Amino acid sequence: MSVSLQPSAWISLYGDYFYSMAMIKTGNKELAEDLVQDTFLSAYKAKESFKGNSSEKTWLTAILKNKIVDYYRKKDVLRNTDQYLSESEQSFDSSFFTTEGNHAGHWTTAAAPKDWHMENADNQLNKSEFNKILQYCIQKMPPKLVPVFLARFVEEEKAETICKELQLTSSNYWVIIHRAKVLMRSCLEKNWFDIK
Amino acid sequence: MAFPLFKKIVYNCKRATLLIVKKEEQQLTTIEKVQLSIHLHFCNPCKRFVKQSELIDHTLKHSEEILLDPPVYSLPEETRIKIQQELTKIN
Repeated sequence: MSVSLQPSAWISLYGDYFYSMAMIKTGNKELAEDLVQDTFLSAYKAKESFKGNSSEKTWLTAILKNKIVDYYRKKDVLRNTDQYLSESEQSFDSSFFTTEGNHAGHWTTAAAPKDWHMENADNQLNKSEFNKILQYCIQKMPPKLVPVFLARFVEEEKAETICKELQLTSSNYWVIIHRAKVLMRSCLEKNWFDIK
Repeated sequence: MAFPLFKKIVYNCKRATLLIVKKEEQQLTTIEKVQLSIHLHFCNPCKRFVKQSELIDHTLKHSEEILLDPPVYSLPEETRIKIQQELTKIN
């Protein structure tokens, strides 16, 4: 028997799930609500195209993800990347690396990676606490970095795919991945691994 | 630190971390490999960065489900009603 769609149950089954996905990816309440609504409505209109090869949830997820990428393309998120990266370079650099004196180029004392308290990481009970921190760190990341960060580290897409989808040059891709990783590491250290 | 090139490699944690992040995804060139290994030989914070960066990659892999299970945000009630109405309208 092939899988059939149950649009009447969509909101109760997937409402929070898709809303959370859209919130994590865009950080904007109204927008996330619109994206969820859009997804359900266009899925409903396209319900004939559902072949039942994948689950209903997977099918709807693909539609939402496309809508999010469309949004990224249309909005500022993906525009003026060169300008954004060069304008913010100095402030990024000076938050992490010494800019003057004998140690110029080295981590600043405050930002240098410290040993982590791993007992926190190994404790499964802390999983939901860790997720909160992770979300917090994603929210704190500059919005221009978030789509690339999520595509690379959470969705594990290939660099080539990400560059194509998000219209990035390869060198900007590396700058973004680098900054996102440095910021994420630092945020996790401060809020998770440094807490005894 | 008599040699400027040496100093340039050792005193550049920004470049070293960029190479570390790059190496997780693709092969470095021979020059990059040499630069990074010299840097890491002298830089403990960057050595930690290598380990922690790997741990972060590992943790984030497949974290989409973890991030969303259970969903962290609740779709507001008004929006639910609105969407339900829209769905009924086109039905």
